[in-house]
Amino acid sequence: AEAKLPYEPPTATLVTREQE
Amino acid sequence: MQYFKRSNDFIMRNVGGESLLVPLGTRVVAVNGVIVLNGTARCVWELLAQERSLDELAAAVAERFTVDVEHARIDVQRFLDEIGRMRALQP
Repeated sequence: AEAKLPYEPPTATLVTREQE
Repeated sequence: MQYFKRSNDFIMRNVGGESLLVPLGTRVVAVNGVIVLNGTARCVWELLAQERSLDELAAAVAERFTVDVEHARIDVQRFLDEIGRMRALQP
């Protein structure tokens, strides 16, 4: 059977130019 | 039933193994940076190329990752709220 990928809750992290 | 679709004001790029949402046009000034997605978020973002319901998204995540639909639904809803605040979803 096709193996499932390990799960992490979906996240979206904003990285501002200043942080970059 | 509510349907979700990603905004056309962002484009996804892979940089150094990371999935980045890069704002386009007028969003560049408003966002002032890039949005980093993890693997699950990338999967959801790709699905959002077409209109999807929360149930559809949760089922797709549960099919591909080691999570049950109920937990996926809660997490995907939270993610949609998050990118909605960033205006990365179509109104």
